[in-house]
Amino acid sequence: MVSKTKKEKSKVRNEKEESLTELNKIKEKMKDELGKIQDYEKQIIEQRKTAEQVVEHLQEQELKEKDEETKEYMSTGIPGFDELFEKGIPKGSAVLFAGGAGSGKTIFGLQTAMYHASLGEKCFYMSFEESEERLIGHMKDFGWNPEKVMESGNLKIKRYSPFDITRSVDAMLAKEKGELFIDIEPVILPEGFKPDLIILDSLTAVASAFVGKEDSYRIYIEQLFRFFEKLESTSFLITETKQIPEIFSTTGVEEFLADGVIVFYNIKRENIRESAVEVLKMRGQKHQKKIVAMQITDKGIVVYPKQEVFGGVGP
Amino acid sequence: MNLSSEIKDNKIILLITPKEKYHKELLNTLKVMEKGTDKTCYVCINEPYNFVVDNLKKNNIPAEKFFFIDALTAKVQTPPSVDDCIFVSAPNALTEISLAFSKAFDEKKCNGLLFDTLSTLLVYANPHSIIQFIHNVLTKLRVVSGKAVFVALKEDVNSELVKDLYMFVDKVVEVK
Repeated sequence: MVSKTKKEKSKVRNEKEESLTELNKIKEKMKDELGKIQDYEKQIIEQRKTAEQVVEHLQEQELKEKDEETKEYMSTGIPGFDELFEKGIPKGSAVLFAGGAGSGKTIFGLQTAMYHASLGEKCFYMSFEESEERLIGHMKDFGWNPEKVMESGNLKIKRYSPFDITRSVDAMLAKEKGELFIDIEPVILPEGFKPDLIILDSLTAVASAFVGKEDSYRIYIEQLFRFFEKLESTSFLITETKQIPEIFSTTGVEEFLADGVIVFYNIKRENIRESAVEVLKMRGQKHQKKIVAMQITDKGIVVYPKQEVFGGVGP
Repeated sequence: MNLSSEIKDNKIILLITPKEKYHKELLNTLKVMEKGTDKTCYVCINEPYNFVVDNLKKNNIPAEKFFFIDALTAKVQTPPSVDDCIFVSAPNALTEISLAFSKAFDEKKCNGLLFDTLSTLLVYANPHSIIQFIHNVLTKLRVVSGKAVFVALKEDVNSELVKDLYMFVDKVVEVK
């Protein structure tokens, strides 16, 4: 009887042990399954994240495409030059024209202004260097008819003194500091004239009025760029540099603020000079990245987008 | 050596001649080009346009079968306004010459080129720029399947330029 009880007890113990082992097995199995489920969950989260990213990217792309569709571009009317761009210069851009003396910046600006004015657009040439008469004379030398577009009111040329600018700068600085509550514009445009294209010739002349007041010049330039942006006009800002420039503006702030930089070269080869042009930067527009030949002919500037310049541009 | 058959068989030829035979060989080449092409673009680096035209007339070669690029006249006087010649500012104005060459082939319907001479060009421009320039001109020529003769003097055979040209041309013809 005693032995039976012992046997029974041992049996019960064995059964308990077996159940425990079984239970542990089930527990392990459940852990494995749970692990798998957690892995699946992770995968699902990852996949969902990727899908969200794809959707986000597609939405961004769509917005970009819509933006591209609505974006307008301008041509300069300079033969060959516009071929350097996929579509043209984005309208409303501020573009620096950098180059040395005689490299063709002013002619390029005048030719573009003539072209747009003859298309019925409003163009404003702000000269801080040459007089209106001299600029009109240059245009006539190329056989253009500036009087016609000026009479139609599409082209205005106005000479400014760089020192006129400095007078308004103190007021602008006071406005910046919050000491003045009226709006001061960096330049005064002809009344009732809202230009589509502004050519400022040149920032270098403007900078000459700020000698010893470099900080004021920087603030002024920033205000000027903001002003042109507010006007929604395309602006070409001429800067005088070395013949083979490495820096494209007086302070470097200008090229940072500008949407585009076009460099004009006047390359000396022994006893002759060759002209060339390069689109160095143009925000929001694909362009050719090479220096190409340019000629100032008796009818104006012609750019040869397929013609390389032999012998480089360096001295 | 028969230049006429060489030009028929090969598109781009480098003609190397001793300087004492230069004028005779040039005349021979002019006759061959006049017959072998619709119109030849004659790049005058050695003698100016009016001199070349007179020479053609003297030798009964029709000048109207040629379009000229003169790189010499503008150095000494204001060039005349003529329809059959582009005057470039100087022999080392290689970009200007290349642009004039494009005009000769695109607008004036030239299909041949006579370059007279590489040896004179070496006096005015550095060999590296000339090689770049010649390679560019040759590429334009090959695209339109044009024929060309580049004349060089035997005395310049060892120059870097002529050595490189051996690689670019289809055939080198040496006059003994």
